[in-house]
Amino acid sequence: MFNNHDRIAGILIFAVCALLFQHTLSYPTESAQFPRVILIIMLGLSGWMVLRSLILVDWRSMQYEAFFIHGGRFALAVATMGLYIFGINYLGYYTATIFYIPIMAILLGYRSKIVIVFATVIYIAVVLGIFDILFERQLPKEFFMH
Amino acid sequence: MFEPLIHSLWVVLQPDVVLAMTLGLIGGILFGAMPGLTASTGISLLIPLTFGMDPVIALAIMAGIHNGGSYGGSIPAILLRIPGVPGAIVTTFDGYPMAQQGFAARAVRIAAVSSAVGGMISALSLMLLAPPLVAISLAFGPAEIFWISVFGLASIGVFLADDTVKGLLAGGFGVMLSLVGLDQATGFERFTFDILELSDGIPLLIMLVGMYALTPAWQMAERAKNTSITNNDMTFGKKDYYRDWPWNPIVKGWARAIPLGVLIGILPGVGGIAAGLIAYNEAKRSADDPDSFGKGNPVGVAIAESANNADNAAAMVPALTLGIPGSGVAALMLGGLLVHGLQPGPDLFEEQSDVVFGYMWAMLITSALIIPFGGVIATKVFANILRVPQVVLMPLIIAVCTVGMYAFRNDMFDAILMLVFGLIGYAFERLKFPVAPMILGLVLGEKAEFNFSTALKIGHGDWMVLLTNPISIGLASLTVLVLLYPMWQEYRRGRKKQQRGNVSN
Repeated sequence: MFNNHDRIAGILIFAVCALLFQHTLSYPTESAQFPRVILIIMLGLSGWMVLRSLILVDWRSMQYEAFFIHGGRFALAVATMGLYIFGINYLGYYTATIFYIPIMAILLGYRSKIVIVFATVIYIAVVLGIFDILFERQLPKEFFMH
Repeated sequence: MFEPLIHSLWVVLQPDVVLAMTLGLIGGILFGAMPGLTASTGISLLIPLTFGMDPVIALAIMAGIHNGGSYGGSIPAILLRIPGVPGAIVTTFDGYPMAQQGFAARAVRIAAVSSAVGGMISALSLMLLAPPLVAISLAFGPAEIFWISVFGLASIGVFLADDTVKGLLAGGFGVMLSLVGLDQATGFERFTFDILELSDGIPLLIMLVGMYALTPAWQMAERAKNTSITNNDMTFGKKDYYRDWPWNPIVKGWARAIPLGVLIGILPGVGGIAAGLIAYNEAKRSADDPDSFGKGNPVGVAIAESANNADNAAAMVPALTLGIPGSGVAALMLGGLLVHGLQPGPDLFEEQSDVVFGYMWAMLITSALIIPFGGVIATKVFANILRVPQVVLMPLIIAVCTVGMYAFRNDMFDAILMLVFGLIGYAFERLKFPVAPMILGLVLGEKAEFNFSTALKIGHGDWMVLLTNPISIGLASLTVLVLLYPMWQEYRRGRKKQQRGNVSN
């Protein structure tokens, strides 16, 4: 039941709740009443989370679990997604996607070019069909159409 | 009650709605069949794409995904012993041994028919139970609505989490997020930290997509499985005929499992895994041949899948009437309703009867459609989704999420916010915080605050106004009981342990 990250998570949640509570002190009473009730409950719960990790857990028998399944690949996935979102603004949705799908698959170790090209083309065709033709939604314009 | 029900059937039988249900069902089966993706992922990816659609069509697709996802999880459970969705874990107990003995085709068909029967009865229970329950909700004033919101959050937080503290904290997070933006009563900006885009609050949709769809995609990247399942991994074995099925025990199994699944579905937060496990254990305990369970007994598959799907529509009974979902997927469906501007409660049944009853019919029809789409030939086609390498699927999911978020308000800020919620969702997953209470907190938070403030205004600031009438006192007592339940469970566990210790000494 207890996780080796519980203590850190509890401290972080407690700190965030305390900061938010302090923030509500500048609010008018009517706007502050309900958030303060919730924050007091959350402070109590996170405080208990920290406390029980100190007094109730038998650390010798506890199994340690890594936070990430694979930290490097997680960072890669999040960073490339950030770049993709950033890239959409400058390159346009379709251009950024044409780069993103194959690059991501290749970075994760996939090598079958046919499958990658097939998946990208099908995806682009489906999005084009649904957003541009069916719903007439304007996606971020391609850089060569500005 | 019957007139809108019949009229909505006519609406649902229009070709475009039938097509939507069929596509939703196929999509749901594909999502359910792919380990790591669930009906929740499918619905969260789909909601942004349904903007601009008629709500009946949008809900028909979601109903198809909901039912299809529940059934689809049985395909890898039977063929590969990998439950495609959490509820399918019970299906692996007998489904996989059946496949090993050369009866995979039979196991798949029993799973399909049982899912369909369970789902249809569940949809009928939704049709019968929701209208009377919504009539009761008319007696609710601000204090009662506040307590029903608190009760919903407490029960989802307690029952959906392995750890009550984490469940309740997740609910608290959701409530806090619902308070971001302009306070409706005073016009004061709360928790926006001068970010202009947050003035209107945090849209539910962004949180849904970020927390439900990004986490499985990133985990696919972390695992980086380049290989896919081959033909040798999936064999369907001997040809199967309905006449060869042990019908008598299967029907008895359904009769035992489906009412239990419906009941568990209605209870907020208990969910499909519990329905399947309880029904399975009960059937095993009372069977003439309990040892055959877990070794390829077809009744085990029938019980698991019928109970699992009986939970689906039943979980929407409290969601549509009181705004409290009975399961995690129901919480997401509730989010889908809200995104389409449909508020649960009596007004929904009065003003949007075609939509709400149409949704109930869609749950029934999509359940029935599982039988043709769950046949061996169809399942062979669906099983091909298992061949798509996850490293290719991962960027596709990210691309769908991003386009959906952009299309929501034509603002890339929403995609960035989705990324932030994805990171929170990932942390929740790894720290074993349940996501559903957070979603429910966001859904109920504003309503809870509004009714809390209104009740206090009525009572001239006296907090006892929250506990003046019998319904409020009843709901507050139920909330306390729900919160005490984990302690009682812990006490019972401790006593059992002590008794076992005494016996061994």
